[in-house]
Amino acid sequence: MTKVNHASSRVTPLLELRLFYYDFLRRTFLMEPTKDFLVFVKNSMIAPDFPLASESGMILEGVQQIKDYLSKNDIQSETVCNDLHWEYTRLFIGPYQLPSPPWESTYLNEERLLFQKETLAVRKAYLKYSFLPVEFGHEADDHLGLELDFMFRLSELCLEDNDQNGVDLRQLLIDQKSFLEEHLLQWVPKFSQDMIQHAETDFYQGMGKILQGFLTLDLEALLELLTINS
Amino acid sequence: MSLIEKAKSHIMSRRSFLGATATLAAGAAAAVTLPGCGLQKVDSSVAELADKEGEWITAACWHNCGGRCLNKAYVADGVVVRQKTDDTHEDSPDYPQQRGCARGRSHRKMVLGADRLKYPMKRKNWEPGGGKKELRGKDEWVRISWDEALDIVASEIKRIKEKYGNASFFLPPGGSGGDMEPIRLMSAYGGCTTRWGDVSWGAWPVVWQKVTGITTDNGSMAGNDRFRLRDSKLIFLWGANPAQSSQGTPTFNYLQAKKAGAKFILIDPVHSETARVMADEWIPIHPATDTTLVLGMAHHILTNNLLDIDFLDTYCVGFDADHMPDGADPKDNFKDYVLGTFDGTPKTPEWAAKICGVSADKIRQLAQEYATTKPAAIITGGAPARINNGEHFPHAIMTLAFMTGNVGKPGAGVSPNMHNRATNAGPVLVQPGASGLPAIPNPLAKSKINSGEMWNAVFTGKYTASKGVQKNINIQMVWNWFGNTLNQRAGTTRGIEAHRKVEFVLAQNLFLSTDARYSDVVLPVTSQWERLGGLLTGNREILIYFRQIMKPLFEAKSDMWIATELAKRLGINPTKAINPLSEAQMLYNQIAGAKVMKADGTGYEKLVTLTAEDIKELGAKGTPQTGRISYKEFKEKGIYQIPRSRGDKLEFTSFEDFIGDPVGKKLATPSGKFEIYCDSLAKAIEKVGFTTKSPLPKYEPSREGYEDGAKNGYPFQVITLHYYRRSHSTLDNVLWLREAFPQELRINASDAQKLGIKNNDIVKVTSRHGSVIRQAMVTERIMPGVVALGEGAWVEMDEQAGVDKAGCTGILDGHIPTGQGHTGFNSCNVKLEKYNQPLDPDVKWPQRIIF
Repeated sequence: MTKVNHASSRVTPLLELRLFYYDFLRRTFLMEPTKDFLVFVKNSMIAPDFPLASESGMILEGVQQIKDYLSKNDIQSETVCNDLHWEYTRLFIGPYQLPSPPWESTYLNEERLLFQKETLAVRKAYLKYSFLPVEFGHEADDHLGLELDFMFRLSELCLEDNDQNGVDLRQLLIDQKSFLEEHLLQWVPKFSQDMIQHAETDFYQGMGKILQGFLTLDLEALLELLTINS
Repeated sequence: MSLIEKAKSHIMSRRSFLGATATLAAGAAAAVTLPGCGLQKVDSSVAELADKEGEWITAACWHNCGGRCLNKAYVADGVVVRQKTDDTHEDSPDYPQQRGCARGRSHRKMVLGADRLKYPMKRKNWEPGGGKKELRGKDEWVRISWDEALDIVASEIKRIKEKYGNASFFLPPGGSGGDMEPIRLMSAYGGCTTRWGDVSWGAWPVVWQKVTGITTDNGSMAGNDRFRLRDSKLIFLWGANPAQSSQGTPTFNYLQAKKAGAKFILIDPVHSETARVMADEWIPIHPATDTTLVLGMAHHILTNNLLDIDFLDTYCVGFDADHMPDGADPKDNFKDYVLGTFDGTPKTPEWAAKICGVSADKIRQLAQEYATTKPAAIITGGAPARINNGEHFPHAIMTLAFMTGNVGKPGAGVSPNMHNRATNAGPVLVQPGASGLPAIPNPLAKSKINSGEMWNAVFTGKYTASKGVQKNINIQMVWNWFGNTLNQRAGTTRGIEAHRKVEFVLAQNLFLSTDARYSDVVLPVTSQWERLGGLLTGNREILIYFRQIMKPLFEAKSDMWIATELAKRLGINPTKAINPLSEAQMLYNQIAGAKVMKADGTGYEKLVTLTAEDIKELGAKGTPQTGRISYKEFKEKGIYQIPRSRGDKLEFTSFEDFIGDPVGKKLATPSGKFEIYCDSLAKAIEKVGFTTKSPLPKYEPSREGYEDGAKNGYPFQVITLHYYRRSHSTLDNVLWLREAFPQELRINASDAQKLGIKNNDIVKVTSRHGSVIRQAMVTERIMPGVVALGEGAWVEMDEQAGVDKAGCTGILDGHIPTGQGHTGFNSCNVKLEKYNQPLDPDVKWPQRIIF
């Protein structure tokens, strides 16, 4: 899938790992877990070392918890699927008070409202690359899953033929760094704390840790990539 | 090692693990397809629209809902993206936000509804003079141009005037708000017949005015303001349900009184939403019998030495034989009526219990508690007095307060403090200026028909002008706009027949409402969101400045534009007679003339500072002025709310001045006092010409009241509720609201069991005047023998079965003129039966979209 120009070929492995992470995370947070998704997670955990896990204590802990969970629970069983499905629902959908609402605006404004100025700022960032939520206007743009999907899309662009599509790799990296700093890292630390505290399964506790660990790590990665591409 | 290097070595080892060609990323992306819930690529035009910076504009929420709240629309490039409510300041009990309800927040769904009338239309079979008039309400519609529509209307008006004269034009809308443009036009064209009669306030207005001598209020502005309410130790909410009928701040204000220690007793056939929040005790009662409960309590107070004799002697006439007004028979006093001295019927708690359904012991307990807890307030809604010949109830309940001296002291009082004045009695603290639009006197001002006679008059050719005076009338044109008269006045069944009898029916509306549906020609009008702007008042502390949100939809025009265009065709100079001021000038006049009470309560000062630039921006002529706030602030916030605090000079309790100085500040009644014996009231009612009332408060059963039905085969009483889904009939078509509030028939569980009715079964409700069907809500939260239905549903006749499927209460209520000419919506007898045809939930009904 990737034709990388000469200048960036050295960084391709890191760009690929970033793509993997954002894919992994967006799938985790966009919607309730499906069986396919759980198989995907299990497969990702088979390899002896989870990418870059040694670089972050948080990721390491998270991976270990998920591995523990998967060793004790059979993801083919209905009960396990239902448990995880309910856990996602309880944490991120409702109907009761959400212990960790997955929207940026609920963390950044005092009254924890949806569709606020934060939402519009996020939308603006998406629109620079002509992205909008499929459920635009109905779903708030600053849902964690959507923000991660956005990072995934830009990571994908980073690996595409930059000469042909006219997007400058450096600009893509700058925009990702800004989005990470101005949005995700503004609220995810608090969100993941809430999530880790309130999740009842090792599975979602672990996911909270991987999320937090990776976003912190990705800022480092972007800084490094920008130094190379300056 | 850098992350770049780490990644490289990871990928290398990974490749050796998975095979050389597999990349991690490609593997992952292929593993599971992502369902359609993420981001998508959009084309540049969509992106541009979504990126438009919008603006919050204060939007009109203009309905007659009994509340008034701040409603704002986020408008981006003419598109209303979303709405919000008051966030102009922090919320607190002393300085509350004016926050909107489900209806206000659904406003976008109404104004931008697919069922908006878009073009002028005529009935397919219409011809000059009618044309298959029986098809009104059933015929198909044909789209026509504005020119054709206006030509049809003008030629019918000319023809009818020539043939039958101006009195044959009947323009029944009325009420507050609106400039009554069609009446302006017809007044300039020689006059028209109009409608009269209170709808909302029941029998209160004339009673309040005659007993207290206050003619500037109907009682709804009387009582305590929201701070003084907190002084009450006991509050009777008597047939008052502000949580439903006065949304906005009233329930919140009552909660402050409750927090301050007031006990709340709710008297109501329904365990209302207010009861749910507030009630320490709920006393269910048969509708239209509240007067007996009052008299039973009075009997206990009288016979147990709980009277405030000083109060009665100083401030009242008519209580006992020694304090009668000049010329009255001393035997005709209230005390002897209650004791039964001359009529042989003591109005004991036992006597009352048999009628009102509240036990005698409970009546004694209520009386004891009321008479010994001071200050105590009785606050009623319009509902208990919204009954046929209902004048006794307001009169009796005021008398009860006089007997205990619970009047004129902070926290005490008795009044129908309701609608948007609920919980905040007292003079208006901030108000708009006049628009300056000059009135046009109607040359036929005396040609006015009461709500209870208007549809019959179409058939009989007669109406009551006053006692013993019947006048001839020949109605040949009905013209509806602004209200939803056919749907919202009692006697809708008769009204539909009347609409099918006259020669021409015209409606101006936003939707194919009931009025419009039974018309020959329908003209689409703009909503307030599509007009220039205006000021709205609500509770006494706020003034809202709303502005234009969007351009008129499709071919909709304002009522004033329609009147103007018709004037041209009728040979009237429109700018001279109908429409002399620009919309901008009228708006400016209201803003420039707005005034606010000074903090010391001594009088008003100007509210808005207007510079020459502001006036220019408004597009008006005027002189710069200095006021309390800048025009910019008023425009941006869209609201001015006067600062208030406990102990300020704006607190209010009715009759404080009279109680402090009964001679110097005497009342404007003939006696200068509260009139328990009120001859002027008796004479006023008699003069109207429908029924009579004794000068004393007594119990006289209402026509179609409790006793009437029980013996005539209509064993249930139906009451009409202000319903969450709508403001009267407005917003009934909004799907969100239809889904949330299904227009259910509430029925007591024991009654339902006897009739074999289960929850959601369809029930046919039949009165002497019509039938409706609705799904049952079986509940303990209503008095046995009573059913309740929200008023305002848009008639949807199943002509074959002869039932209205929507559950419009106007279909059930009789076309009955009584008392002061008010409408008695809550005195109506019905029978119930299970209905064996299915009924889809309202939200699934097709919308009334005709183009």
